[in-house]
Amino acid sequence: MYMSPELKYKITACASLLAASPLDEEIKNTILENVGGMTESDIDKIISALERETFELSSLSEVLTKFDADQVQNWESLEAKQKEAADALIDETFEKITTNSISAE
Amino acid sequence: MSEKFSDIPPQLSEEELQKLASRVENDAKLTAEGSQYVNSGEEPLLDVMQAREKSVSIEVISVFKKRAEIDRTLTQLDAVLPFIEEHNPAVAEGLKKTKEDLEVKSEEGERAFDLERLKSEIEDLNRTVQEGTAMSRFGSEHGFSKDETYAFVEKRVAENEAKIRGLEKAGEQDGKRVEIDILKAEINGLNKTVQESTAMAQYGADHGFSKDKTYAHIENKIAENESKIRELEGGETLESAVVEAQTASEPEVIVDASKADEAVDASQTNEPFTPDALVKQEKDTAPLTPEAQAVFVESYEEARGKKTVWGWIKERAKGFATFGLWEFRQAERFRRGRNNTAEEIAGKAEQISKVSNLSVEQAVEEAYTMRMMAEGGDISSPESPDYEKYSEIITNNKKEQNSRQIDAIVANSSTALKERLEKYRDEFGKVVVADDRMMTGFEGTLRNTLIELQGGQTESDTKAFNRIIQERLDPKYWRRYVYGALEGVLDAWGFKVILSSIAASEWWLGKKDAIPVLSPASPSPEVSPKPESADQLAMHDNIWKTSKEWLQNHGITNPTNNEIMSVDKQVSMDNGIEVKKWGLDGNPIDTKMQQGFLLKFKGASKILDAIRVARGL
Repeated sequence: MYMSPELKYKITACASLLAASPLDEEIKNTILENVGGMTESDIDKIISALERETFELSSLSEVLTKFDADQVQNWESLEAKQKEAADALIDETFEKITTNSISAE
Repeated sequence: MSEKFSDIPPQLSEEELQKLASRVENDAKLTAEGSQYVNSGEEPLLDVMQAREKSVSIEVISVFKKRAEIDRTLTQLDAVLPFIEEHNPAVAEGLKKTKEDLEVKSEEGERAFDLERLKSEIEDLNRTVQEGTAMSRFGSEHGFSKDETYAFVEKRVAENEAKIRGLEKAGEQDGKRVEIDILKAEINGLNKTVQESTAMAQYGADHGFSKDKTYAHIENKIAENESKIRELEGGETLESAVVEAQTASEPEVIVDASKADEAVDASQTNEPFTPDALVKQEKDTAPLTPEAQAVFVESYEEARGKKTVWGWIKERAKGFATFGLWEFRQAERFRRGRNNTAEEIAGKAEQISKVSNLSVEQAVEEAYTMRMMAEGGDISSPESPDYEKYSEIITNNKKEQNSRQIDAIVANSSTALKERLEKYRDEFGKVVVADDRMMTGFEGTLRNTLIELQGGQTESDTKAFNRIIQERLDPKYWRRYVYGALEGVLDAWGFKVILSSIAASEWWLGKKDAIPVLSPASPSPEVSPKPESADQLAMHDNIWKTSKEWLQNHGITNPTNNEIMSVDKQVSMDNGIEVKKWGLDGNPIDTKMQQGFLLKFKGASKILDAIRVARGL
């Protein structure tokens, strides 16, 4: 039976998006098991939902990457602050000890 | 006095605690794997979308993000408005207005997104026909001959252009509607002014008019506005124009070239494009042919196992695998009930009303806090019982590294202090006292200071991560804006799907005991019957031979290697078996399985269906 190139194009895109989707296997299986009852409009709707999902995931991946980068930078800054705090405490303790020693004499 | 969240001990059940422990363990594994994945420098692959995104990524994704941000804010407003209405109606009124404005922007954003997608696809298709290799690849990927590819591209471009014109027309109509609303509001205001003498006097004074001149001015202004409205309405009712434009903007598939030409001709002559009723009806009601079904299943199988952006997110982990905690906390909040925190919510609402010039973002954030409180807890509070657990997971590696760093800093500082005191004595011959007790005190103070700084960073990480979860994984948003269309399709088939749980739950781990996603199905009459296959079969020799046997048991007497492989792969995935050659992770490994291992074949039923269809059985 003839299948238009447009429909074939849509079906391929829909199937590939579904395969790549993190949707639960049970949902994917439900879709696959019901392909026979699907209309072209259903394909359009599924493509639309899965494309949105892909965009959302791409966006999430970017946000997480940024979080990761920020986290690395923040912990590096923290380390620098900790070293500064240690230096300050060394100075303070040194001052205290030497002052006490002088007064002890 | 209401009970504070921090006063309530954790109430997770034994089962939940076990699940949590198992997740934490899994997170650690994913973290390790994620590091390997990231260090390998591999890029995430999006398969079909990846190819398209090469051209669409900048414009389309940027438009999508703008629209998504608006929709997320809308979702948050939807979620909090009932609480705010209950506790502070005045603030709720302001937020309702904000919501209305955002809804208009959301519609505009949706249109802009569709426009960009269509334009991007046109660019993509044009590029395809301009490059010989791209043409061949496209044809081969979709099973088209050269002529079919040209014809397809031509029709698709024409179809997209028609849709773009429809969307642009709808946009213009929306713009006109806004302008008309403004003009009408102005007329109403002027009419009210005329009816009130003080308002009239004030209007005259403001414009330096006498009473008569004020009347004349207002009359002229009203007449001018009415004329503009008529002009904008263009002799037809606006509603009919919008409906027409919306009809033209609906995705439409043109079955043959003559109809595509009709569509293009109609839009070029600016005549309303009325879609062929028969084509539309066929698209909406005619089920796919068996051949189309086979193509679907075949394409799906081919695409499985390829790397995806989600796989990349999951693999890189580094604490992101902790989404599961969201689920636990949600369960906790709801269990604790809403009444306990009523006073605190009222206090928070009061606080919102006191803040002047509250931006939408701030209002939403405050309102979100209220929502969290109403649901029983404040996840941003460091006093929360599971906060520490949560923080540890997010920052675990960093915290461990920093703790080692703290040890090193304390040891080095101690040595540095001793050396300095030594030098001081050598230089000045003074007797200084730095006994063990004093040095222990120094080290203790220093360690506490450093740990305090570390705690601040951990808290900051947790807050940042919480924000990501709030903004990106709100189940309500995913359900409405991302999976809305899919949910509609499944619903039409008789499946009640709880897609809201998808956004932040166990699904991403692909666990077998994941929360149920489908309610007891009551398939509609159009749904094709499931094959009468047995669900399980004990393994004989290996999965390949068992798959072959299963196919033979189901009427495929002479299965081809490809058919067996499809079943083998599906069964391996469904049973969580590790198969290195296909990149499948799991346990046990396919080469070290015990004879008689009970294999589940439920998921292979669809492949059986496809094989039967392909063979005309």
